[in-house]
Amino acid sequence: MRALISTLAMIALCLGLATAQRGQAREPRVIAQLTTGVTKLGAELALVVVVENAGFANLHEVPPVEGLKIGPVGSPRSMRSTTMINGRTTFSDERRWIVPVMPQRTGEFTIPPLSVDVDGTLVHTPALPLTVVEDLLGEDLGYFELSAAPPKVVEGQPFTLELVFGWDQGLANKINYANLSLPWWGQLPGALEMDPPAARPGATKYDIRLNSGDTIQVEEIEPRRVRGRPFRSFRARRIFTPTRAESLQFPTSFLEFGQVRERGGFFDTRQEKVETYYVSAEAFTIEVVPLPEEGRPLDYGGAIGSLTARATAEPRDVDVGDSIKFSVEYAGSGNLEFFAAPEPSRLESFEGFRVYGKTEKKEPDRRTIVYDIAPTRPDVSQVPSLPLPVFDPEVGRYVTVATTPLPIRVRALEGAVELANPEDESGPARDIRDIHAEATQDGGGSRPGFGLTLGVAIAAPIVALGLRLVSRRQGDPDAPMERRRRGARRKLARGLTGARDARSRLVQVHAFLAARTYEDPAAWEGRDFDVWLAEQGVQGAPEKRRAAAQGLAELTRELERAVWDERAQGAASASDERILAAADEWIGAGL
Amino acid sequence: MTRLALALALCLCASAAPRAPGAFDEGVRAYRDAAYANAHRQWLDALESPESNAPTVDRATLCYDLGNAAWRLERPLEAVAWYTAAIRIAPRHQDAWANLEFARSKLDLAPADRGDLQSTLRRLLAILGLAESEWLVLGTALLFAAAGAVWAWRGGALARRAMLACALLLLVALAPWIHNLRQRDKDPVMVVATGGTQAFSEPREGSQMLARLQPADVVERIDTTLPGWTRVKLDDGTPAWIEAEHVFALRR
Repeated sequence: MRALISTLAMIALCLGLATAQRGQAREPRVIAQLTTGVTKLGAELALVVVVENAGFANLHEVPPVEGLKIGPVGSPRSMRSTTMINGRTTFSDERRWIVPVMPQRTGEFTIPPLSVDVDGTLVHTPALPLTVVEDLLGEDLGYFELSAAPPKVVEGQPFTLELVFGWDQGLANKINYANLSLPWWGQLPGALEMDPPAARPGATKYDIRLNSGDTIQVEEIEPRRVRGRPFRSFRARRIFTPTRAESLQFPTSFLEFGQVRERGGFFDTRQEKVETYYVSAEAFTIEVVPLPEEGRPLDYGGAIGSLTARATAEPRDVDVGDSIKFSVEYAGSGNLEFFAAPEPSRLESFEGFRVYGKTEKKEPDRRTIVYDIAPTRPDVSQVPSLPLPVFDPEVGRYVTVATTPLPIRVRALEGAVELANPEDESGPARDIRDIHAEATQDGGGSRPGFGLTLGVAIAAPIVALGLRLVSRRQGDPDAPMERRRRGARRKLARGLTGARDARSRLVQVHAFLAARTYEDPAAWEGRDFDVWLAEQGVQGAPEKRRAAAQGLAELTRELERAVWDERAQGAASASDERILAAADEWIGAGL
Repeated sequence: MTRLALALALCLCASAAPRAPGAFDEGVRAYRDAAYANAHRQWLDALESPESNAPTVDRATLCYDLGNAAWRLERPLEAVAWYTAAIRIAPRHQDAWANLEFARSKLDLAPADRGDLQSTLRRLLAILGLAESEWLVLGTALLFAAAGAVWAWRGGALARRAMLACALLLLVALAPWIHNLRQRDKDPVMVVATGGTQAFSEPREGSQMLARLQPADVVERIDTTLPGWTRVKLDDGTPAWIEAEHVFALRR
């Protein structure tokens, strides 16, 4: 187990070091495309499979398709490239298989998904449609243009691909079907597709078929005159950014248009082609060249294109430390999305400002960066120019696109000093607390000791429970009768305060005696005290006990005489104090 | 008689003469004069070799002051270790806690007290020293016994509740005591090497590295008999060897 952990730790360390030193590699990607989506019977075409940025890749045998002769799958061709922008190194790696395909009959075919082993994971490509026709009619009835602007770009420079196509306006009523066969669509190695440009306002848009399975939205444009005749015309545009310095191949593309009618029943409707025409757009290549090293600024952040910069600042009249929103808008044709935004905090010209952060908003044709800055001194009079190094392909060199300085007014705060920079060491700062200079005696801290502590901790509950067991043998002190007995004196005192005559006093005394003897108060009405005392063995008890018993007995008889004897009625009976004193003696004697 | 008088006089003179300043006071003087290396040396002497004729200085104070000296000598990890050692001795030492958290923040280390529940509970368990926790247990046990006796004699709901409350107090008081007993036998060391250190399977260069320890990591020391090397127990219980100069003993 220890060996496994150490081995894994070493591997992780090596990988981490390798990654840190070597830079960033991109994720693996698999692309498959045909050199053409429509071909004539007898013409040859090829199936191109490209695997990018994989450590290991292997193309499995292509599944057979009836009517097509595919293969053999040979060895791939490998290619590697390295790009360094703004200190970040990016590696890319490509393996390319070219598999010949020979149609053996006309028809519509689908080459099933191909299986590719990529770093131990099986990846499947999408299915590829192929149309083989006897003859390609339509070159005269339609037109299809595919162009890229500019035709030569540098790595990272976006380019626009424009598809313009259409058919003879005289056929307009007959044509109800169109399909674009673009074998490179979604399968362009070495390029990233960006958001498409916005359509012309008010243009009519249509969804037409793409590669027989998908759809693509196109806009109708003004009819064009082709070969002296008006042609109904459509357009679609896409923007791509090349990610490495190599040529981008666009194989022959086809526009298939014609007439279809629906056949079949209600539940089985299908389209049957009545007439089909084909027109092709020539294959072409876009050359992608690497960014030149010569003249590259040290702070170059990857911006490419013909860009402009426009800045605003709000508010312009502030106090020291107040926030200013410094907004910079970059527009033009270029890789607006991808370059690193300039950092004002790293520029000497912005040393009179503190930069708190930035937010960005990206749109297809512009990028707006809003910096939150605050002047730190009242002598700052403008927001300086913010430069951005850009490679301009049109002039073929690096240029600087900078904002114009913006005048501002900064007022000093009353009684305040300027906002200190974090690096300013003369201002207040935290420090450690001072030493303790008094030599306080180390008393050593006397301890009870482990044994004593443990012993007492264990003994405490044992003692409590033991006492409880012992006391229970003599009666449960929690029993209601016991609690009544213990509270008898208190209840007697409380009762006597409300007693106004001998009868009520006698009732209280009987209640007291009953509580003390665990009996009902009625048991004491008319009881012969002497008999009871004899029964309890009080006669032979020690003097104190006998005296206490006799004292309360005499008191009780007095009260009874006062209550029952007509001759004694009206006479003074025992007072409360005497009763309570007798009760105390009774309790003190353990009765 | 004359000899006796003379001896008595000598004793009186000796007791009346001012005590020579000890290492601690010398260290304070040196620190005030910004001679931090000298102050560090004096306090270390006071800590490791207490003078027989000087009152023993509180060890937590010595560790704390040594931390300050290390900080001024720009040895921040050593300062963190000294403050940690001071807190082990005096868990409620406010100045040591303040300096420890300050030093750790300056080193971009996580706070010693993260403020979460686990840290708070750990700090509560360690808030009393061993002697204090034992006295607490003793006191609450006696209180429990007294409440139990009242309940046994008098009964009643009130007495029963009081006894149960004392029982609960006793259980709570046991927690810091048990914690202190567990910590008493441990010998923790802190990694003070800038950039951390490596733990090896054997005490020699080129042996298999078992783990990488970060600065201010704390592990338990097992053995110090081999010169230049310290044997420790990693978090998973695995024994490993670390270069002795990369670690700092927290038990002072």
